[in-house]
This record gives sequence, structure tokens and C-alpha cells, in this order.
Amino acid sequence: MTCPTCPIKEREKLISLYDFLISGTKAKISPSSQEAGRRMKHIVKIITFLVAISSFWIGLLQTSILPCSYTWLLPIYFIVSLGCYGLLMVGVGLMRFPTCPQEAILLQQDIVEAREFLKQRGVDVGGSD
Amino acid sequence: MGKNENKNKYSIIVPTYNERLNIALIVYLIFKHLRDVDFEVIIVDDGSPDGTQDIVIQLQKVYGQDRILLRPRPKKLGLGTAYIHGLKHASGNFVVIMDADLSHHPKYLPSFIKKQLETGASIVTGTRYVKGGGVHGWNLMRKLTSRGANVLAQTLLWPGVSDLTGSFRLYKKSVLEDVISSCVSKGYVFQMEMIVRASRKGYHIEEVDLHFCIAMVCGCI
Repeated sequence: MTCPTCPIKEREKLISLYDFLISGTKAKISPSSQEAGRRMKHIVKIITFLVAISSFWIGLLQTSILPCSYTWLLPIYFIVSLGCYGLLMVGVGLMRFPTCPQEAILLQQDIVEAREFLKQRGVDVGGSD
Repeated sequence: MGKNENKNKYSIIVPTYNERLNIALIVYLIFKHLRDVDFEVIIVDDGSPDGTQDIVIQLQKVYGQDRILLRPRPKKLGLGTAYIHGLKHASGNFVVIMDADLSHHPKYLPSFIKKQLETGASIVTGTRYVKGGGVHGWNLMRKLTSRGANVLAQTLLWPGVSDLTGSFRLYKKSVLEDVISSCVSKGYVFQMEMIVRASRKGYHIEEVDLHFCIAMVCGCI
């Protein structure tokens, strides 16, 4: 038998997720003007961006600056460009991924030191390396 | 940083599951690097079958039950709820969350505390992706996943921090309580949601560069 409150719980979850996107007004500190810009409701930023892009595209369709056959394909080019940008950022990130092999050596020294100290005090720290 | 200068108390929440070999080492390193700071370590163990809790009891005899608090749960209930459980028992006005597997080295804790005292930040988060930070022991797949997740999240969420997937952080207790109460996700995405929500709420977030090492006690792999 299904619980009658389940749809309410699901609705609450959806409201929480929606709130996740739009929340930005409950700060307990008075943020600087620089932070206030960042706190502009996130959904508003996204909608503004999409409206601007759509307006530009519709404008191009109306004014026929470019041939219609090209203009109709612009959204596809835009999506492909975003995908390429994402792949480029991931690729650059991978190439420049910072590594620190020296930290492994320092950590091993810490582990040996910790084991010695704890063994003396009767703490079971497992077998040695 | 003497006790006279810093009157804050730090509650370090360490969720554990089958960390018998690591928990003693992480506790030792916390005590080694936080000499002049008032702190407590809250270990939230999700019913580890490997005897993690027995080791914690041994550690309590060495360091004292007032400094090491074991707050177990009957079974594995997830990371997010582990933080909530630990938070209930935290007596400090600042809370540090970190992993027990030695991937988060306690030597960075003084840097977190110093950064918070200097800037008055509500949250100080560790980042592996700025100059001075880094990782060791990650294969290509893990690097790809981490970078991919961060690029995707940065593009869609604009959180204002460089490392969203990291989970080594210092929070003002009141801020953590506020942020955690509005989180809905489960598992490891919980970390990402917490920092994004904090950013949305306008809290002051600072970053400290750190090295992330896949450690285990057998050595870095």
C-alpha cells in the first residue's frame, strides 16, 4: 500500500532542488557589493543569458543580415561550440594537472613516525610496511 | 598562534568506515600539527566490521575521551548524515570536515585556521587546482573524472571556488548548520552541494592550496 504522504515528500524534494538554483537571499552576513553581484539569483542569470542569445538569433532571422539557411544552423553551431569549449577546458586541465610526488615521500615518513609513537602507547596500528 | 591569540574551539569531524589502519595515524597527525589550538576530534563510525571503533577506544586512552569523541552509528548511513550526526556532538564554534584515509593531511589544518583568522571567512576550503596545490597517485581516469566534474559544475553553477569536489574544509559552525539544513543530495555530491549553497547564500569563502595524496598505510599508489 502506498503512503499518502509520499507525493508531498517528492514535491518537497523538487522544491528544495528548485530552491538550490534560485536561493541567494538568506545570507547571514552583509556581503560586499562585489559579492552581491555573485548572489544575483542564479536562475535569473541563466534566463537572462538564454533570452539574450535567443533575441540575437531572432534578430538575425528577422533582419536577414545572414542568409536564412545559415541563421537556422546557428543554434547547432552554438551547442557544438559549447561542447568543444568544455572538452578544451578538460583537456587543458588534464595537461596542467598539478602533481606532487614529493608529498608521497613526506607522508610515508609521517606514517612511520606515527606508527612508532602509537605502538609505544599500545595502539594497534597494523603490520609494518 | 598561541592560545591567547586564538580563543576559538575547533571540532574536527572524521566520518569512518573500515578505516582501522588509518584512523590512528590521522589522529596522531592531527595532534601533532594542532599543538596550540583548542580542538576535539569527533569520529563518526558507521558500524565498521573491521574494528575501527576498537582502535578509537585505544586512542581515547592515549589522548583522552574529552579530545577524541567516538560517536558510532549502527550501519552505513551515508556521508551527509555522518556530518549531521557529528555536528550534533560538536562543541566548537568552528567545524573541520576531513577524510580518514590520509588523503587529507592534517598538516594543512594550521593553514586553514590562519586563513580564517586573517580573512574572517565563513568557510575555508582546500583546493588542489591552484598553484601550490596538487595530487599524487591518481590515474588518468580519476583525473579526467575530477576535471570533467569540475568543468561541468563551474560552467553550470558558477560557484566562485576552484575545487568543488574537494571535501577538506573548515566551517563556522553556524554556517555549516545553515548550509547543511538546506542540502538534499546524498553521497559524495553532498560536498559539492554544500559549497554551492554556501556561495549562493553569500557566505565568505576562502581557499587554501593543498596536496591530495592517495595514501593508505601501504604507501602512495
